[in-house]
Amino acid sequence: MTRFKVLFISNLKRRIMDGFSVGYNILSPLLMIWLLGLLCKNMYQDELLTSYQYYGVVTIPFCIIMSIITAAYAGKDDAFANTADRILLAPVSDAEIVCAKILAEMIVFAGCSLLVLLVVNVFSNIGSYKELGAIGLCYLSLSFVTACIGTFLGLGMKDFMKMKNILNIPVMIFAILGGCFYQFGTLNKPLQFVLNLSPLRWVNRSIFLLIYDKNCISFYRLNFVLIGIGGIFMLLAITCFKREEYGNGQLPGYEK
Amino acid sequence: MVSYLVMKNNIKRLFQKKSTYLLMVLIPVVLIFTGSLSVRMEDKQFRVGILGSNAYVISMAEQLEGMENVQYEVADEKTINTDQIMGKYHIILDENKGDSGLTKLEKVSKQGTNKEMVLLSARQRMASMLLTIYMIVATLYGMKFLQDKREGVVERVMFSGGTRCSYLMGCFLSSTIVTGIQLVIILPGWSLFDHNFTFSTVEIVQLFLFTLMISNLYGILISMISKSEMMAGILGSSVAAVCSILGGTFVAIDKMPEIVQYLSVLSPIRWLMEWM
Repeated sequence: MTRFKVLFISNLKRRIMDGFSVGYNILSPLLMIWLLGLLCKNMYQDELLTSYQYYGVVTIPFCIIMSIITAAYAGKDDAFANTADRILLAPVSDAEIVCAKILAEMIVFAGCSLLVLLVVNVFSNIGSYKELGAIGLCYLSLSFVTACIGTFLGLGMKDFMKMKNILNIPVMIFAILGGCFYQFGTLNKPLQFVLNLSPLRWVNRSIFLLIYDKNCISFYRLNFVLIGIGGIFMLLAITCFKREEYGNGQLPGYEK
Repeated sequence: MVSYLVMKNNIKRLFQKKSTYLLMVLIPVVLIFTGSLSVRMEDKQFRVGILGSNAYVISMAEQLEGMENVQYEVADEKTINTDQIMGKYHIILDENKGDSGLTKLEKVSKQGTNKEMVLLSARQRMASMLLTIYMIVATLYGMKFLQDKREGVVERVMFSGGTRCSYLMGCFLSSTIVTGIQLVIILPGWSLFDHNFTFSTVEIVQLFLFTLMISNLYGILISMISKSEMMAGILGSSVAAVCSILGGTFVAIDKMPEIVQYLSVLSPIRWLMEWM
């Protein structure tokens, strides 16, 4: 447990001090919420909520999902800092290395997202503190999935640089289908099926159901599914952990 | 001569990778699919949700049958607010709230306008999506310059008598050729698979040239100002997304606040919308 604790604290410190993780998870969503809220201000005048409230809810999950790439890069931190060999030689198991990374990333992503939510709530009053607490739990689950998938890509794949470039495309498509940039709705069943393929649609819908329809069943179901998927990817990350990749710090184009 | 050699070398290197061929097929297919989908999503009809007793639902349905451009269904009371927020319904006819919804619907139906119709037409949406995606794709190809700079290839070319500008021109030409091949697949593919694709031949050529030039110039510019490939990737996608938003892809320009309308002049997407 001591070994895990040391690894976890070291990873956590690195993530907190990493300007990129923090900037991407705090500044980027705040900027997007402000810009999109300002652009669409006039379109939400007769609606149940303001444009800032809408984008305050839908932007944060999108930014958490985008952190998959940050999480993948975080898997290479030790190699880049030339500390990977020491960790590999130390009496720590592969599972401890992977879990420490995942836990640290999860806490930082969730913490940044919750901070953004609280800031947006001050200006736009998204919901009560009880609802915000529940949404925070959702962000924690989403951050867990993101951290697990990102760590699996970073540590478990031989050439994650190519995957990382391709990954942006499905994430953007899910974001568009999920209504992160614009409300997408239809009564057409086949099109509704396509929209439902986006995980972000389910996340956004569950949060809106919690706040505006006081319906928490799908919200808790969603959290359960997210934790399940995260668990599967965590097991995959541990199983596919490649020591040679963990120690390989030659990342083209990745410079600090 | 240097530019030609650089272009030739870059193309050779690109086509030696299997992933180039995969992307050449994948990107056009994904674009055609999402383009067609986005056109179908452009729903000129009002979507109405009816909430109330069976008798009320039947009565409203009879009234709505006579209206143009209206789709309706029975709404679920437990999720009504969320359905409205997520854009499933434009108007809710609620038995408890009287006929205010119906009056509003009749008025708007007669005007023949739809909130979504003040946005873009199908043509503009397709063109905007094409330019945004190719701005990002061209950045990926433009990153070749950064890779060569890091490996010392640019320095070797400069020592052998070439200039940085000629090297950049070579990179620009190579990425133009590769994106040009993809656009040649996409544009006719769209017109074959989607009968909503209503561009004339002249317009297709203009769209092709505009997208090719702007996206590749953008890719090279991002590569010139970035210090690393990671920075170029993130900067390229972020700026492309902002240009897309400011250009009026999601919100009509005349609906934006005034200051944002002035800022949107900087977006190449807006130039494309104005042309269309």
